[in-house]
Amino acid sequence: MTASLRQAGQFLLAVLLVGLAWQLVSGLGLVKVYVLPPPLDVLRAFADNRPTITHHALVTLWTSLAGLALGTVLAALAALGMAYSGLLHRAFRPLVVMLSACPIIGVIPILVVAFGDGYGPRVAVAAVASFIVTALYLVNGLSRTDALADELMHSLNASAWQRLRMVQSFSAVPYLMAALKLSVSTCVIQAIVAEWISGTSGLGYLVQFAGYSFRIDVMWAAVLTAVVITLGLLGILALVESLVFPWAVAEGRSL
Amino acid sequence: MSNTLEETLETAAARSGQAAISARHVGVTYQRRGQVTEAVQDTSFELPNGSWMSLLGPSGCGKSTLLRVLADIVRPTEGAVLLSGRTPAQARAERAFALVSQQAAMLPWRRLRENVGLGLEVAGTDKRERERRVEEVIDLVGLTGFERAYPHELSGGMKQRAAIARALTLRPNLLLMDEPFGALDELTRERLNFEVLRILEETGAALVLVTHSISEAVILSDTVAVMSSRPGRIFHTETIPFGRMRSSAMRDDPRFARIEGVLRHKLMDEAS
Ligand SMILES: Nc1ncnc2c1ncn2[C@@H]1O[C@H](COP(=O)(O)OP(=O)(O)O)[C@@H](O)[C@H]1O
Ligand SMILES: [Mg+2]
Repeated sequence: MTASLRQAGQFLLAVLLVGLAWQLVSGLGLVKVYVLPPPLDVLRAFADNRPTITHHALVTLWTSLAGLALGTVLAALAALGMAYSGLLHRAFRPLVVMLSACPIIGVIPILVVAFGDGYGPRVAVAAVASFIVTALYLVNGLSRTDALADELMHSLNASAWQRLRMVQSFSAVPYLMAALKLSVSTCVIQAIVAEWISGTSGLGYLVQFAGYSFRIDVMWAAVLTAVVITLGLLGILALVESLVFPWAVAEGRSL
Repeated sequence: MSNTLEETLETAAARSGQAAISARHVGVTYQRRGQVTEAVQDTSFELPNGSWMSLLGPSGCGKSTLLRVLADIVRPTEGAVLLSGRTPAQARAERAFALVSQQAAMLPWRRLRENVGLGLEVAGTDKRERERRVEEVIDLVGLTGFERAYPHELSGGMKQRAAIARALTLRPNLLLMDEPFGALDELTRERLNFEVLRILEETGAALVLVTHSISEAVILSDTVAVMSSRPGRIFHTETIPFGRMRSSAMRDDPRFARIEGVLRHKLMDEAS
């Protein structure tokens, strides 16, 4: 507890120092104010436009979460299939890797033409991002069980279903958590980029709109809000992990 | 009808007449990445029903390998074993034996009582019976109070005791144990030795114990089989004369020291 308090203290100190440096750099005119307004201006922009920013932040939050949930569920199904069938594994794993190399962003305008500029295409983009990471991690997690545990289940004459239920699903948990931690930030970023390209709402849209209207302070306020959203989600994930899977954290199995 | 009953009785009689273990010319050769290791060579022995046996030998001589052949984890490359007339695979399917392996395999995501109850859960025993038996054996191995602890909160010795408890919940006809008391302190070790003996006596189960403690082998066995260094084969069998009256008083019996001496010499000759 004291260790985590100290960590939090050190983090706050770092934030303060960065803020101070930022204030000095733009306050002394080292960087043009219209590129990087001082942090106090950004905070003021945030306070002045709170309802607007909150509205767009919620749009981004829900888009990212919907994408994260959809991508994770699809990835779990795909990983189960790949873990159980060598054929599926050989056929689809390379496809997932190819998908990860694919600049999905470039396809957004077409998605918008096809599905309209609503939430659909944005959620889809975020979902693809988390699907890739989670599918690849979970395939590994499901197939890499401890030899000792395998032997134990073998000597207890456990069925394949019992092994999946009692061993594999748990040994995949640390991989799932690691995948979720990576997915969270990519989902938020992908959602924002999608909004930036095609959206009529969301932080991505706000960043773009503020940029066009030379409200650089609002733009930076929106960017910082995105950071806060990601950090908040990561914090919630870590909390859930320590509450629901204390063994994973304690065994150092948390990846 | 009467025919069937007769047959059933005959089969039962035949089974009970069959040795708990009958090993014939068992050999195991491992092949891994082109490297060939002959771990066990031409080993034959017979263990009568309800009888207790220890395997003693220098480390790396193939004791675990031989035990893993009995437990249907390693398939012998030569010869065969029968457990009460069944192949190890059949015996495993019938849950006729329980294995306590060298490292206590605990599932990290299960609390102690769920780890101890794992065997019963896999076997489909109903929940109330399971909880009753789990509580009983946890008490027996002295882990009461730790039921809700996760493996990472337990010491090595406690995990080992939990692994023994898990095997005992299954009430097997044959208990296979690979250095199960290695991680324990002397006092706990001896207490558990006698607890295990008491349970074996009650249930009439047979025991194969791999150990490198000579005194433990004498305390826990009717016969001690001494294995040569690799490739392992049983080159000496010592009969232990104490019957079923076992207690720590055994140690004061002059025969105990004499047998220990014989076994020590056999082992030392083998090591040199
Ligand atoms: N799975 C395996 N693959 C290859 N070699 C093995 C394997 N298991 C054990 N061995 C080798 O077989 C020999 C006997 O090992 P083991 O049966 O574990 O001996 P002990 O239990 O008597 O110490 C050792 O030389 C060991 O390195
Ligand atoms: Mg061994």
